[in-house]
Amino acid sequence: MIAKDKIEKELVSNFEIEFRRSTSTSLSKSSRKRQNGTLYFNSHQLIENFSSNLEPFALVALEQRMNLIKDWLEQESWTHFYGNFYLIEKSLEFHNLPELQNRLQWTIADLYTGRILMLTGDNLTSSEGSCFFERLHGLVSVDCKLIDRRDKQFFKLAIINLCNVVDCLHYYVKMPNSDEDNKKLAIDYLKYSLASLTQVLFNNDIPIEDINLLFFVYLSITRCKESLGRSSEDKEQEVYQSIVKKFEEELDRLKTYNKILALCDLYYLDNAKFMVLFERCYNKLIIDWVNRPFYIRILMFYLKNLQIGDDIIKLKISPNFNPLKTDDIIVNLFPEYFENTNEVIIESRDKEKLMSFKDVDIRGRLANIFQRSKFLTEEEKERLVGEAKKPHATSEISDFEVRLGDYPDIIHACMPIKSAREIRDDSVSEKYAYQLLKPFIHLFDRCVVVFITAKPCSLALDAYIKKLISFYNFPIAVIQEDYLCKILKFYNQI
Amino acid sequence: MHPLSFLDQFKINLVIGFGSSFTGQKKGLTAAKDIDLIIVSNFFQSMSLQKRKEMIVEDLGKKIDPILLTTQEYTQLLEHPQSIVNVALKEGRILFDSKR
Repeated sequence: MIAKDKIEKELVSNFEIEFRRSTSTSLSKSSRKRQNGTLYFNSHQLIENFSSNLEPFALVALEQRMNLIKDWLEQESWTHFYGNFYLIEKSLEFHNLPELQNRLQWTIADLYTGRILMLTGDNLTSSEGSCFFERLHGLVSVDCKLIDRRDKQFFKLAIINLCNVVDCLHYYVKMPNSDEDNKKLAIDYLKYSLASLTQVLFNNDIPIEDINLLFFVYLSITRCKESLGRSSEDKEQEVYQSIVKKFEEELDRLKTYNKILALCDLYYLDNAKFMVLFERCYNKLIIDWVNRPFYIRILMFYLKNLQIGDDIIKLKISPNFNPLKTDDIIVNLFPEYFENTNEVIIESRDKEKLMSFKDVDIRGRLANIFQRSKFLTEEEKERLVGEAKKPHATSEISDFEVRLGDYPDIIHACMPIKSAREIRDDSVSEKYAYQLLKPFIHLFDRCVVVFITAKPCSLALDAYIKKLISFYNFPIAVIQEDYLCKILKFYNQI
Repeated sequence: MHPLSFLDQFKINLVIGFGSSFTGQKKGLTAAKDIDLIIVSNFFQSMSLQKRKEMIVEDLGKKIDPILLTTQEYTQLLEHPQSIVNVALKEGRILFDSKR
């Protein structure tokens, strides 16, 4: 067994390289789409398996980057609405081979977009979704034709493409909210794909150097069958066992890229065998920018199997934000208070009253105070009154959000609110740190966080917030306990 | 919420309706089951698509399936002949334009 510390360090360093590389502008657009797509999938895996092992700011950095990638890919798809899926048919029909080559690459990026949308829970019932499924017919048809023809130039690329289609559709069919019409189309495409890929598996056309492709084909066949409710046949199992045997025999001779990709699929097919073969080849892998995204993936798989408990994966990645001056924003939100702060004396009954407030009470009182700010538009003031009364959903970015200024210079002051009723302990624990940073996931560089709490922050949370402010310049302010009580009293809200 | 208030609150510049609710078509780009709208406002600047959608759907209801763009994003999409913006302008209907 390989020491988990070693794997963790390896994962951290490679992930950081990949995270930085995803913003590189030197790549072509389609390469950048695929590169960002794989970063999205790896980030998703990391969060899915290790969210409790990541520091809050690293978790927020991952989610923010995932949002940026998803938004970019989705907006890109609005320019053509998966047009490559049907234009590829024309390229094949008119024997335009350079264009066919390009479109086979571009469609993989488009498949990534669809898959990412599905991962976000989008059931693709919009215009965009309808196009994805209707136009996918063209791509499946071209992939199957190219595979059937055993065309030397396009054979491998068409297999990779079709396996990616299957991955997408397999996920869609399993989605609890998938649309029935789209699902019917998905099932049809899976049937065509299954027939084509089964031929590949039995015809022995793939050389041993590309054994990773055989694994991908076999995995795709199992996915097709699972989606179609069919069981695996003995002869397929036999072929699979022979693939594994060949892989074991040739492991030392294969290139790193092929080994890593094969291991990625083997993890899903036979986890125990994955562990054994990963350990056998780990020290001999030579990592470069092409195989790194998949290397990260097998490191995560291995680490997941090791069960790392409470270990912290120390990713040194940070979200993008604008270090706005929170002091100025607080002054704008609470006019006149800071010139008269000494006039406010709080008594024990004021504190008792504050302790009795629920979230909604605090929100309502803050909304009253913000009516005086000249930095809020009249529409915003009106909105805040309604907003304060609404029940708060846990999925919301923060409990209360105030838009300061007017277009084009709006700043979102996001206010997580903790009433004494919500916090049963004497202080607010460190576990709320992620909630404080959550607004940066969606509002990027146009937001500040103003944490409003009736009880004080715990020492650990206080230290963490101070670290975020002084080391990283996060625009965060805290209004807690007596400070909050004084503000409420100054404006006659207590 | 009164529609006028919605337009004011989000400083909406343009609303285009498309999709089967506006075209009656049942295939292709305009076959969506929900009410498709393109809504343009600079209010959406520096805001994730998810956040934009949550804000709008909260006010307009879940049957609305909006594509929410800033003016700059809208202009960029106009340059692509096959983009959703050009298809919507061709097959759909402008429901609101702050310049008119």
